[in-house]
Amino acid sequence: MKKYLNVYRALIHLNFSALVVYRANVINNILGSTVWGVFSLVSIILLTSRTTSVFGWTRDEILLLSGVYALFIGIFHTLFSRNFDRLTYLIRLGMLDAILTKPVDSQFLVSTSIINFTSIIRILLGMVFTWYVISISHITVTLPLIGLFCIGIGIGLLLLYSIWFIVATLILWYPDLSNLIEFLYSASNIGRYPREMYSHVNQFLFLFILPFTFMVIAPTKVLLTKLTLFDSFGLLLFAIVFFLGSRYFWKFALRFYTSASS
Amino acid sequence: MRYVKIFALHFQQAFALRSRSVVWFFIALLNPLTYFLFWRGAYAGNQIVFAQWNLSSIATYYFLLVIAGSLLIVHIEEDVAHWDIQQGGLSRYLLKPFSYIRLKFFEELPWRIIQGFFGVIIFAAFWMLFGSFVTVATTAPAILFAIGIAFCGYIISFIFKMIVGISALWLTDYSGLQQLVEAVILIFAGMLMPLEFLPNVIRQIAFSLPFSYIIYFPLLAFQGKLTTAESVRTIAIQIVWIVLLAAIYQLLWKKGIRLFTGLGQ
Repeated sequence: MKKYLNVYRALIHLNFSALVVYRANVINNILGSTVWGVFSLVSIILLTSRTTSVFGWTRDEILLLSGVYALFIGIFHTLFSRNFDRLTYLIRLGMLDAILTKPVDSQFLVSTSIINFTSIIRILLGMVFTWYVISISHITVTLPLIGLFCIGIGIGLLLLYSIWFIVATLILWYPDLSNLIEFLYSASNIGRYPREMYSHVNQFLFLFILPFTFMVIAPTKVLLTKLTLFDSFGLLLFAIVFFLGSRYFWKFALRFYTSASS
Repeated sequence: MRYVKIFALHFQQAFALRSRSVVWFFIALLNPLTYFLFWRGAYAGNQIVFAQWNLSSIATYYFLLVIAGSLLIVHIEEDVAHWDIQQGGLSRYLLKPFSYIRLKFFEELPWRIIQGFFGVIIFAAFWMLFGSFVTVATTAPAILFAIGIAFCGYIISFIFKMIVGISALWLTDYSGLQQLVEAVILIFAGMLMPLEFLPNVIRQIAFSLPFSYIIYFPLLAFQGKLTTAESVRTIAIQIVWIVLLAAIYQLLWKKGIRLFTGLGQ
């Protein structure tokens, strides 16, 4: 455990050094993060501008869900998403050897090598917007609630990471499908909306959508003091199952990996 | 004839990578479907009362948007900015006796056709299953106008994205600009919701920009919501935008190509 903490600390230093060296890239990435962070909030304000409630959620509750989602996805993009873009590149060019031959768990290295500090903008935007909605809705927030909220966010992040990792592992067999990661960026948006919105779609499709509907809704319901056993156990169960699944699937998939003399 | 051959070669390449096209199509499918589900809930709760837009027309709008998003939104800018300009691949185009923009046009077209085809299949399935929900133009003049408006919309989309792409001749990293453009198009082209639903100020801004003429007006035309006079007016405005954007592209290309260096190519 201590070894992995030391490795992660070193990765943070390396990523921060890269950040301050390539300053033009930083400005561009900050612009990109700000644009998408603002867009995700503006789009939900526009969508809900013509309605006061949808699927039993009031407009304020939907705005709160979006704020929590912005915070949640900001953390995910900071810690993980760039690593998946890089993974597709490593697999396509047969360059995973440099990671597989290291005395560190390959899933850990593949998932944590890049830290996108510029996405912290999205975390800040999400926090500010969430706090604003809490204020105008007169929601009472206590320290225990915040603690439970943070735990919910952490488990939700584990669930989303595991789903992304399972899909990214497919690229080991289908290197041409590197745009599956682009698909995941869009698919993750499913978590921005109430679960009830998807309940009338085809049952088979709903099974695929269901895990996405737990990762943000459960922490949001903590703040609304509307958390149910179904939400909390569903989130925990999906997170554990998908995380274990991602580990076994990765180890299984590596048997089929062929390098390119890197 | 030579451009037909170029198109055929690129179509072959795009068809060979059709699995990627399927994934791109699903990306284009996801957002419209999600927004449609949202509005279905809003209409079901009788929260929405909006002239000319009932659940049927909203459903048709978003399912047509699946086709429009795949067919009319061009994605050539990354190819131009990253692979041609930043990686130096532009050199091989400059040595050919063809116009760069025309070559890129025929490179991009096969991908749009293949992904648009998937959209047509989805729309056809939707029409077969929920025929009563579908409201489209049914008269020959309306359909012809709609096709013309869609074609002009595609041209606007292509030239605009080429302008975004060649911005890499000045910018070392154009990704921030690219993401800004994507977010702007999502709102002002009507890909989030029909522009009539937007607040008045934002709606006016949307109508004064070219993006609404790429997606929103073609969708209105195919839904039969434009009169003949409005269709003619739309095409006229689209032609003005095409001429304006083409002039901007030519100016930027002439100034920018002097800055290009293709090292090691």
